[in-house]
Amino acid sequence: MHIQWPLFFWIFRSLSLLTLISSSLATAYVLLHDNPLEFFLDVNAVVFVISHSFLISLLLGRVRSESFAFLYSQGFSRDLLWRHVWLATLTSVLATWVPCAVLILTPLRSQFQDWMQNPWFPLMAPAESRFLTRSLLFYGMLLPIFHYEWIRSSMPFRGRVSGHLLVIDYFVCGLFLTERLWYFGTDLARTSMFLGFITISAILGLFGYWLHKRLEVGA
Amino acid sequence: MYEIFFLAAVVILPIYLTAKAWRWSTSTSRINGKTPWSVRVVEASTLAILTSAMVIHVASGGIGMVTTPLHDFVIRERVVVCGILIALAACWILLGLWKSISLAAVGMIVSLPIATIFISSALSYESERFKKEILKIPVPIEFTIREEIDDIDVTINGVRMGKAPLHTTIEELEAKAPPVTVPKDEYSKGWKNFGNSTYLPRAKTRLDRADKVGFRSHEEKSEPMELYVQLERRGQLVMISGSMGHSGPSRMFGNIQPATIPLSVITEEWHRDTTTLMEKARLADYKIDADWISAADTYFHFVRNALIAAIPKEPQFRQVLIDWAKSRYHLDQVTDADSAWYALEAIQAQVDKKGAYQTNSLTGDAVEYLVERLDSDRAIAMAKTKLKRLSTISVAGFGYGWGSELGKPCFSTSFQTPQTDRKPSDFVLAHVIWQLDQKWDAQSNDHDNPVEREIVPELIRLSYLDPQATKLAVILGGSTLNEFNRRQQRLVYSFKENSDPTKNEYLEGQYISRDFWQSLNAVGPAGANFRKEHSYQALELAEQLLNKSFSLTSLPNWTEFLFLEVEGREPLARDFWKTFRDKVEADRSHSPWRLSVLWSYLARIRPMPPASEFVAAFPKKSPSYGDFNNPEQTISLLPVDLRLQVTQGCIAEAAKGKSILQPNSEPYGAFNQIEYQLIRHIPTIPSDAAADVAMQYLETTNPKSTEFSRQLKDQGTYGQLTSHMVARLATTSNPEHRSWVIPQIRILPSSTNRETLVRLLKDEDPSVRESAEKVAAELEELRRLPYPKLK
Repeated sequence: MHIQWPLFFWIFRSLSLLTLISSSLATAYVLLHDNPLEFFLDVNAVVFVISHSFLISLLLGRVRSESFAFLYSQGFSRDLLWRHVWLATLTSVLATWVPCAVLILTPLRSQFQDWMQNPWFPLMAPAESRFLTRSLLFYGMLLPIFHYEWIRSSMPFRGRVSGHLLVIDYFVCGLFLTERLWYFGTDLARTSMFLGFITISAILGLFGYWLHKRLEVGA
Repeated sequence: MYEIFFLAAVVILPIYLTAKAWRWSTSTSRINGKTPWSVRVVEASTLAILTSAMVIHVASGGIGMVTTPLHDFVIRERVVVCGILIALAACWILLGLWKSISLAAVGMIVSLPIATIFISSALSYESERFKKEILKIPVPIEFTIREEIDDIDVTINGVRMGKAPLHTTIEELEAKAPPVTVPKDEYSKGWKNFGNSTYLPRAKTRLDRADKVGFRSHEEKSEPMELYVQLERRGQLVMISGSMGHSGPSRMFGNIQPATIPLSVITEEWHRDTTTLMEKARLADYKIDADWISAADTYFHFVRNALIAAIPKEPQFRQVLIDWAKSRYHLDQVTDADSAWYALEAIQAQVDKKGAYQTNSLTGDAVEYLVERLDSDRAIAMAKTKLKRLSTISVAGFGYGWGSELGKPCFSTSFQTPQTDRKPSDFVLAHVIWQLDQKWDAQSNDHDNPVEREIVPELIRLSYLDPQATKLAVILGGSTLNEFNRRQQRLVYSFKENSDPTKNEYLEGQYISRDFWQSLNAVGPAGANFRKEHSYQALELAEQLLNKSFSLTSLPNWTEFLFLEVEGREPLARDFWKTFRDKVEADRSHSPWRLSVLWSYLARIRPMPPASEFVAAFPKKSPSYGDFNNPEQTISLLPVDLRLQVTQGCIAEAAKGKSILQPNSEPYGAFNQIEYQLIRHIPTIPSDAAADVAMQYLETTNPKSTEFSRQLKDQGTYGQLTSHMVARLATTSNPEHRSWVIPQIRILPSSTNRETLVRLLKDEDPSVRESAEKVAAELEELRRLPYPKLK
């Protein structure tokens, strides 16, 4: 894929402050959190990923803004724009995730907690790599849904509620089932549910891409 | 079934609908202000799938329950409910397709609470129906024989039901063997003691029937069913263990659990044969041969239990057990670490096939023998790999149980239905790890051994999600655990109940902070430091628990922390002793156990208190006859070197107590009885000094010495004399006294006793010689007797 750096920086410009804040917050949290990190048992981490993903899509999807209209009127193909929107999204996610991964895997977090006399460290350090894979998976499930939401809301055939209710429905069902399954589910039920949600995310991601081509931009 | 349904709903259906939508979008979509078909289909189906997934989840009673073998009735009902709800979801799809996707989305969200209400109503209706339906299902009941002896006929309530293991149903029992009226205690007439257990010719059990439908108490009240069980083998009555435990039955959630009644059996003949095998082992100086083993094998755990019971007095039987285990599991072929590993794997395979494992079994003995020969690195690596795969101990498999044999903890599985999520062979591995740790700790405790380095960290890791793992880690110990405890204790301030209910421990009817409790019971330097820093709170907690203790017939388990090491000072038990003694003495309802509880407490304190403190616990006023109901058991709580001193001190106290009382008063009688009980116990103390004191009593001329003589003679008749006493009596000048040891030699024909017998065969007294010759002839006959086998 050919990256047009000026275009990337232009799109990422709107995410820079968010990325800086989220990266700082996540790094501090990962370093200072005194309990072993278990993604689906840690409400703070789950809320953080949801908020970060939502804010990324909100900032990138301000279709009524002048900057958006400017960008979409410069002759870039929709495919190119789509790819760079996702590149900016990934950059923001990785800029948050990679420092956390470095802290956990090096293992600076473990050493710091050990130095702080935390009883669980360094014993729990190897078990925390799960936190990284699960948080990344969760980003991967949420971002296509959120991107679909703003594209869908910008279509000429948008209704009063357009894609928003879809996202709300996804969350109501998803969080309800996740909570139940985490504690009471069998392995197969858990795997089935995650496969189901990933499938829905992938489908909406593809449809987002398809609808994005038909996006009508007006200042 | 439900999982496949769910998988289809959330994965296959969206893929199918997407493909459809894509095809439609290329043919009919128009970007002219109307929502394209493709978008409608995808969104509507996504919403429908999400709603359906949740509906299926709720309707199936939670996905966690999908593996529960629900009764056909429940499946039928829930399939109908799911069908209705999926039809509702389909309506929203159609609405989304033909009219408005927004309306469909709103409809989906609104339908969630409606569906929940609908499902709740359906489940409520279902539970009512279920309550009636479930009572129609026959509940299985199983009578099994623990000893795995075949050809045993089971008679229940006077009706012969068939051979054990008997599989029937409660309904069949009610029809074929209706309740009979047996007068109270009539059924237990003819009871006998074999070893440490009481056996009855007919045993009674009460069967409670739990017919719960759900978590809420839809319990069908039914009278407990009384069953009188008799067993026969080839026309001969078989005695049943008095403690006839059972589990179940249960019909909760339609998950039918059978009632299992495991019966432990014996006959007088089998008991006699077991005794013969023990005597023949003694005659052979505890060296058993293949014939002995093949005979003992036919008696299953009768012989092993008898050996275990004899080990405290005859430690040579430990080697007999090892030799037997070696033969059973072909451990003679173990020559190196590889062959030892092969033998261990064979044992594991057998254990998995059987579905149960206990350390206090011949299999456990075999494992303990192998531990010395195994490649320890390999065992530790395997255990570590297994532990790494687990998120909790209790769910997946590296499990443990708790019991005791000869005062040591043991890992064990249940003899009842094996759990499918727990492999019994993992218990074998856990046993190996524990034994390796014990072995290395015995060699040197200065540095961490490999178990403490490799396994304990894994257990601590698991303890984050499963506090059970901590208990295993505590057994193994080591510096990692100590450091973990030390750090954790910095965050612990009070034993008060934690606001998070999952972080509490339930003790004597109250909740206390689990962190505090674990820190208080931690072994090693960290625990010692914690007990020093929190001694005031620990004693306050101990007093609270003591005041709430329901029964003080034995030392409560929670007192463990009082006896643990405290940094720079004596254990907390020292500070708590007065409070404990006052409470026990004030509790008159438990007077028969009073002295044994107090002595158990003192005997646990390290360094060991002097004899005078044990004597001081002796009741000085108003003693109870029950205080020395079982002197041997009570005095055996004391260390051997203190027993004589304490006994003599108590005899003196009893004499002093008597001296200020009227001879006809009740306390005088009690003191007199206790004094007599103590004196007659002296010959059973295994020491030369005790034997000398006993001989002095014997040679004294007074009415009590006559009683004492009779007692001593009886002890010889029942084989209860110590080796020290046998040596004294055999060399005494009184021929009557010499003759008392002869029955003991017959019962315990060890090499030392046989040497004594040889001397007595040349005794100057003809009556002694005659008795000795008779016993020598009996022993010769015993030697020639073939090994008894259970056919």
